[in-house]
Amino acid sequence: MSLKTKALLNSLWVYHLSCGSCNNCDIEILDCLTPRFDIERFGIKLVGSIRHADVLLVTGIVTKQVLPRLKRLYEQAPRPIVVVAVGACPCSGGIFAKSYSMAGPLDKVIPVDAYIPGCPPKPEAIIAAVVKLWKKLVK
Amino acid sequence: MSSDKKRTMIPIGPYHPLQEEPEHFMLYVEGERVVDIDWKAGYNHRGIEKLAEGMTYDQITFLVERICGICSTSHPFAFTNAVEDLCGIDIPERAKYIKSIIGELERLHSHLLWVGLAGHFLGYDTVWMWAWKYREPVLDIMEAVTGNRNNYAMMKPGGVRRDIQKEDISAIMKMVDDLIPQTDLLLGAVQDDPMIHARTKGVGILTREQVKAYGAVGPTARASGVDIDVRRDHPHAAYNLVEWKVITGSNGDVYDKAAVRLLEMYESIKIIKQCLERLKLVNGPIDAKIKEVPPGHGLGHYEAPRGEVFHYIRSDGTNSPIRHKIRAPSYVNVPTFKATCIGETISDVALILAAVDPCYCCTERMTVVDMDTGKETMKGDDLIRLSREKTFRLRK
Amino acid sequence: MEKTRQIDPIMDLKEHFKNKILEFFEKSETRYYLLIESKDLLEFVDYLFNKLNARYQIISALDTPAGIEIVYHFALDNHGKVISLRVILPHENTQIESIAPIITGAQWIEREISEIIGVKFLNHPDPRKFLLSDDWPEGIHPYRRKN
Repeated sequence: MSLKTKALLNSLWVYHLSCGSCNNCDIEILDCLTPRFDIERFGIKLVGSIRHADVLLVTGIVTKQVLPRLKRLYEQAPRPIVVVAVGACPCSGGIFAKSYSMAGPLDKVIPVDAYIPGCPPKPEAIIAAVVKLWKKLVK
Repeated sequence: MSSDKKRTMIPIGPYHPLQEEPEHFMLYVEGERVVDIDWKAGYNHRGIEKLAEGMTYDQITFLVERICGICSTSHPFAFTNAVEDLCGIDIPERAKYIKSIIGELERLHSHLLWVGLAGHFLGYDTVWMWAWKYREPVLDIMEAVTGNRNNYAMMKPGGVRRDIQKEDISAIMKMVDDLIPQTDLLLGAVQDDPMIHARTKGVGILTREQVKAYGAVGPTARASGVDIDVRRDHPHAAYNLVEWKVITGSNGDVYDKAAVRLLEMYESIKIIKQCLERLKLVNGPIDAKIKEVPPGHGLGHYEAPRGEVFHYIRSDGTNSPIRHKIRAPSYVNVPTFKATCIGETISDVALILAAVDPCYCCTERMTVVDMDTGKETMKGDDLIRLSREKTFRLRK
Repeated sequence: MEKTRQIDPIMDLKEHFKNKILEFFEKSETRYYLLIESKDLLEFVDYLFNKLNARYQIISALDTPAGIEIVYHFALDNHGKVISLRVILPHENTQIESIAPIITGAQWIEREISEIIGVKFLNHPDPRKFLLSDDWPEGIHPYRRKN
């Protein structure tokens, strides 16, 4: 089933990947599942394997250590896959941009479809971004 | 790590859904029993100590806040303690109360987060949802007082950046008061549920001797009956100005680690309320202006939700440190896995690992050492599934 | 819990080690820095950790003009003090005994220091790489000063 069809049928499967983050963005992503935000009512589901994913949410700066594994995981992702950079780190490296350990930002490594800035972005911002992306896909 | 016996090697991580950070453990098992555990760090290594050398003391508070999202204020707390130690200054009284309030609010949200995760690992997803739902009001208060749900930018060398307005005090009081029945609920769930007892009592025991040998800290140490807490032992901020007590366990198992965290929440609420009362009466500045930083040593520590956070700075009298050493509690707590996992069964490992409340981003995570000693039969999510399945079986 | 104040651990340390303390610096009532020789390290660590029952916190390392300085931090929780032992290794010979045989918890930090600043810890039970990426070039230590 194509991504567009899936989006139209109201179901988007999301795989979340941390590439050297402080974990704040990761927690805010998980927070989207909890009762106050309850992203599952939109049909958005977090999945445990990249092979089932429609959307790849990435946090963290992409450290040198993570780099080969990130590339490998991206290769394993089904096509089409939509990549979203969540937080200042994958967007630009954030406050860690000058680190000797930095191999990012994310779009230096894999193509990125959407950027959600913030340190961390609030769950509202993440949901707004995913919805915006969704609308774009449906068109 | 070779042996004639047939051994299976199970990697956990680097990516599995509920442990949000990339870490990689290698579990060596014979049948169902864990015989060894190894790990590899580096996935989260961001070279933060080096970055600090290129920043001013004031800028560093923003950097260290982002070491770890959950114990976000703990690092600036310990770091500013270190700078104040270096300069030999004491901070104004109002600042002391505010620092402790923010620190304890963080402890509340961090422990609630942990309870949720532990609940999930045990197969109690309702607990997960409730704990994280109760967490939200804490984050709301943080946002109202500091401007952000996470990364509060409250601590600075010499005091705090923002005041807590007298008008906001009653709202904060009400929020923490509302948390008491919710904590009662979660505590009751742990204390009264025979399933949870079956899964956590006697599991993953860490002895007092092992606590000492590893230098373990926080609830991980206190659950084993080791009575240490930086807030009481090395008084700073408002901790020796208000009444509260240190919570310890006795068996050092997963149950005690959970109970200590839940019971500590009541003490945090006590501290916050007393500090808020004092703020109504105490006026004055919220920071002491630091004009010069002398050369020498600065050492600061603080009891983060996971245990002692340690910062050491060496100064040459300029605006930036020449060396900034940071040690998060997980750095000394995580290695205790070697003591607590060996001999246990694979269905218990996910829980034992979670019981230390590892904040990997504080520790630069563990990774796997590439060793080909046996077949790879399972992944990390399988371990969580096994843990949840065990609960289900025990229920029958 | 009452703090036990029967022995003053600082006086005890000073008495016991007398002339082995090259420099004794009391920065404040709660912070002590003792400069010692590397050959005496294990004796000091054993005494602090086992006799005075101090809690091992962590080891810091920095590159200074005088040499690679390694600082061993111990907390005396019952007395509210932190004692730091300082050892300076000459740049031409950056090796020292591992304290991991006495304190298991010191294993990781010694591996880390070895990588990031280039110090050899003798008799370390597990001297593998720890923190830097697999493809990190051998011999480059990010915390060494450039001069």
